[in-house]
Amino acid sequence: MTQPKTVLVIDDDERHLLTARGLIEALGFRVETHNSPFRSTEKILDLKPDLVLLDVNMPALAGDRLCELLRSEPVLENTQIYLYSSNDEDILRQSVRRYQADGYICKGDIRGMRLKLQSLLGGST
Amino acid sequence: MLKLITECHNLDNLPVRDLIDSSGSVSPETPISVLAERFFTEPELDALPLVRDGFPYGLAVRNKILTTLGTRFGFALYARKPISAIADMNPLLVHHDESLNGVLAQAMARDFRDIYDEILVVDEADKYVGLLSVKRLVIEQGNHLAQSIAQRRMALERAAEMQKMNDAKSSFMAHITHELRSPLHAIVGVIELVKMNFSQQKLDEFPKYINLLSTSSANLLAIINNILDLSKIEVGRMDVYSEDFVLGDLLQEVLETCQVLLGDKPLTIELDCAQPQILLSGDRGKVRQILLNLASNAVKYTDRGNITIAAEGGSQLKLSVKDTGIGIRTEDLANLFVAFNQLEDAKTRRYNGSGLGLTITAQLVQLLGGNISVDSTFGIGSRFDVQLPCRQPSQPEENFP
Ligand SMILES: Nc1ncnc2c1ncn2[C@@H]1O[C@H](COP(=O)(O)OP(=O)(O)O)[C@@H](O)[C@H]1O
Ligand SMILES: [Mg+2]
Repeated sequence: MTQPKTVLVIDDDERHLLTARGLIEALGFRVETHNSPFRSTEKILDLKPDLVLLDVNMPALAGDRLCELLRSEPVLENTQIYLYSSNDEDILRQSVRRYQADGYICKGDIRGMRLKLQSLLGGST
Repeated sequence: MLKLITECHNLDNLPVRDLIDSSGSVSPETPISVLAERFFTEPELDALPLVRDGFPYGLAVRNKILTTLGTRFGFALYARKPISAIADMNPLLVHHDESLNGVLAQAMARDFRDIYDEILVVDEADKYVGLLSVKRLVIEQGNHLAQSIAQRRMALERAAEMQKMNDAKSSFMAHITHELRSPLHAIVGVIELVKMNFSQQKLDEFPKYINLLSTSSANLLAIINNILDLSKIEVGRMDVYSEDFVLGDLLQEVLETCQVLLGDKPLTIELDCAQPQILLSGDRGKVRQILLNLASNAVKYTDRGNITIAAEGGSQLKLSVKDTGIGIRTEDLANLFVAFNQLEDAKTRRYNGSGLGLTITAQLVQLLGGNISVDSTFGIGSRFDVQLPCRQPSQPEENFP
């Protein structure tokens, strides 16, 4: 029996945590959520998720900046970090490059998110 | 003439035709004594060209003529001779299309004694058109340089301002994109969950989903309305209507919308209106929008406690919205009603919103001829007050019990 892959979603907006959880769990992955940039590093180190979905617009510390900080953690070398946002795609693409994220997923694009997660984490049942 | 000069942006393009000082002339045969007399009696006259049949022959320069005549025997020697005998018969001639800079360069290249001598201007047919004063050309050039420096500075300032506006606009665009999509994406996501759960007949989460859908759509609608309103105000397309309405009904409507926006925050909202049945005449839609903007801010920026929406009708309609929310810092109060000017950085804001609500509110209040004020203590709460001029229609209701 293999452990299901874990996705950690960090977003200050509970609505988006709720929908992300529902949609991603339905793909057969384990989902953990965290509603603030604060203590997110601990959460990640603790959880060692296979993939982190990171909201960009968050109070106090924007997700893209948080991504940059997480990137400097050697322990998280193998953790994939994706920006997960309602922002303009061009801006997300720039942020991915600038803050060394592995990519981005647009919040409204449910089909795109499913395909992406399945290809990144492997299809499940 | 001055106008032409200021319109000309490049000195190399400014034709000397536009700088001609005078067009008088004398014939080369004129006796020197006659000319000397003129120079004596016309102190303003610096030089006269010698012209015959419209063609230039030479130039009589005041100082030089008078100096020659003033020297020993000068007058006796020359007085009867024609002016051509002592005038400069090889003066600088320029074409009327030549540029200020080009002509000045030629003038300055002359022998130092001749540098300030006037310059004769001719047309295509080499006919004489007028005289140029070198002093005037130098002054023009100086003015022009100063002007082009000022112009350059102005252009730079304008460019910097445009850049600032563009930056504000593009960061506003990025922000508004997020604000519009975020609730919509929540809606899209929840609908997907509803579909998935419904197909498996799992209905237990439905009340929560429906709640989310209604708050998110109210949210989105408010933002869209704000954007549309602002563009309407900006193009001056906002008209003021008048209709009769019952104050209490309007308050009730605002209250209901706020209850939806409230979600599950531990907040109470109360209405304070002594005469809810009072009939008023005014632009109901705008009054509602003003009150709704203030009340929805109160809901948004208050996590617990209570909100009071008060209204009092009469010759003035007094509205106020009071909350026990986060409050506003004194230094931020001044920027409160400025468009696109959000108190917090867009990416790290704690609360969603277009940042246009108060701007629109203030503009609507202004449009209706009223005023708005705010009183807020950071960390304690805020109170917004609006006064609008108001009419009471003749009231048939008065007769009812
Ligand atoms: N009742 C209030 N309490 C505290 N802050 C407020 C209140 N109303 C407005 N503000 C502040 O003023 C800013 C501008 O408000 P508004 O123009 O309505 O835009 P938005 O609410 O969309 O950000 C808000 O971002 C908030 O910081
Ligand atoms: Mg967010």
